[in-house]
Amino acid sequence: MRVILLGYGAMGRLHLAAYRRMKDVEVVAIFSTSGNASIDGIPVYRDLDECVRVEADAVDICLPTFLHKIAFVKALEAGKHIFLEKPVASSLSDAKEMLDLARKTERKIMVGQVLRYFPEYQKLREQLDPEKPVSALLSRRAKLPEGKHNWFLDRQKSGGVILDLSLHDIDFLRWTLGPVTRILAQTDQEYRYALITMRHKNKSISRIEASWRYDGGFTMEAELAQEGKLLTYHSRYTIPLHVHSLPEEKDAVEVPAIFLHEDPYYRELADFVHAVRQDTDVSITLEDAYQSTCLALLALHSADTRKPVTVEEGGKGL
Amino acid sequence: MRISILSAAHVHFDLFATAIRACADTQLVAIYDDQPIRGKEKAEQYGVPFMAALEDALDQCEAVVVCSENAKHEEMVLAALEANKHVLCEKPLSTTGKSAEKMASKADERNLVLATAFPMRFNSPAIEMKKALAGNKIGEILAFHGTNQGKCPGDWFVKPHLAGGGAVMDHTVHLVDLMRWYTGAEIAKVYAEIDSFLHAQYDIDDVGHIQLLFSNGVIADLDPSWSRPAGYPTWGGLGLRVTGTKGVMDLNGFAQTISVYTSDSVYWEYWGESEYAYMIEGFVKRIGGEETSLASAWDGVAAVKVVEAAYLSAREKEFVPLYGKMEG
Repeated sequence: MRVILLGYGAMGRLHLAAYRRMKDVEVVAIFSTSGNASIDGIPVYRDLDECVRVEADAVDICLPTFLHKIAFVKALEAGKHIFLEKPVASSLSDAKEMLDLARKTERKIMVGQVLRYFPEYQKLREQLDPEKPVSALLSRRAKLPEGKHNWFLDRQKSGGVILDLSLHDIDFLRWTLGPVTRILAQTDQEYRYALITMRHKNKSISRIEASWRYDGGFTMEAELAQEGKLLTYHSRYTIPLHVHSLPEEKDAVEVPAIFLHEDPYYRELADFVHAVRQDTDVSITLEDAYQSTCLALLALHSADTRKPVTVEEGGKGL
Repeated sequence: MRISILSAAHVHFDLFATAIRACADTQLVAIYDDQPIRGKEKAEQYGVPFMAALEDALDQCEAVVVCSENAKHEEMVLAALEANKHVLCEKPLSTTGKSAEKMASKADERNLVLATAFPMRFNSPAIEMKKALAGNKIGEILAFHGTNQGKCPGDWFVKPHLAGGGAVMDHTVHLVDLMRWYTGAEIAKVYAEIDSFLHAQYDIDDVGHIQLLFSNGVIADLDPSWSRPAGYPTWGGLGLRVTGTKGVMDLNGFAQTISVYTSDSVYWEYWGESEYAYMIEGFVKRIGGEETSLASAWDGVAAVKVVEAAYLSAREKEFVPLYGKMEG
């Protein structure tokens, strides 16, 4: 299978590394506006239109969020299957347009809500009794990310910490506890720290802390309480190997430390490749990821208005 | 100073009794309880007389610790103040803001000390955090993220007419007080999602997720749920992460433990200090006119008002205002 990779930032690099480990998968083109004319022997294109027209089966979109829609439209027009990095889009109008296109196409479209492929989060989900409501507390913290022209810091481009970071937990909670009925969110003025409370249809209450103001290394925490049961997870306490070299250097965008033969990025992309090859359903549809993206956008809306927001299907009420 | 304890209802009774006996300036002189069996047992355990009448316990002392069910705080505190005794009252100060205000005003009128038992102000790690914040280690405070979960205490704690509320009434006030102590700001708005689904046998709130907005713009959330199952290795805990403009501080108030593994259980033995002896010492100093970090009755009132607003918010599904206008 031939794959075109759009974007070569933190996520693009992870995806390329994953594809390189797969048999019979070849990354044939990379779209990137910086760097060399080729990366590991793969030609780099500066023109998006030209890049998506390269002969290939699928396009993997790892561009900054605000460029997702345009790349998505072009890739579909070029007849490619699509793997789309989360979040779906940076605005509701973009996301809706993409959803409409996704409903009309026969191409495979999968969204990289990668937390669903983290074994610890799968284990947390497995351990819950789906019949009982949950009191949930999730936290995700990292240092301030550095993207190209730092697009992460522009709320219109990235959606700030709510859309970019807390979306992982929002999606996990929606996937695990079901639909959300009400959200209240608060954030600092720069959208680098957020507190989100959600009420779910099954009575569960969940709360998320998301921070780009944390210098203690990428950290994920989860605590899920049910009648007679409490599940806890802390990424820092479960790191099986610590390496402290001097001077310590930090990545531009921090990602979780992973000690697995098959890391979650590999697993999600392998699932996508499998769906394309075998013509089976993808595991995370755009329709599904769209709902989580809407919740994050509603949380942003709540933070702006300082009011709880009632959730309607499909992001109505925004 | 001669101190009587009024009621052995609260699980913190032993902490108070031990602290009063440990403190060089205080003596435990009597125990009163409206449930004689409970009171007598404790009196015997600590080798002090049991008083079946409240007046008799008050006659013996200069100050009292009120350790009753929440709903009985007002009655006992007012009786002690009427008898000219200084009072250290178990948290929450009362079950409604109005009742708590009445108690605080009475103490002011009679020029007596009425203090709220917020032991976290005497917790060494929490004090270090206060110093670090004052030392500008993380810049300006932007946000608090707090947890104060525990096991379900059962007993009268799950009876609304005695407790006034469940987990939200029981645990919210500790973190609210710490946050107020750290910021010196008041809480402007409260949002809460509250429910009862962790302990099906009790019809009282056991899950709470609360968000706060302070008058100076600081945002906060806290979890007071009774979400620790019976098999949890300790009673619960208190955590507070403070995010500032220049860094982050993480407090685990009860991290000082060793782990014990037996053939069929695991538990944590706490080796940190008890805050209660330092709180009793603070109480005695305050009576003597010294400044201490002891929480006042009005600190207790402020915390109760947040609890009240949390229940209101959960009913109304709104982010409810507490003290009116925002600064700036």
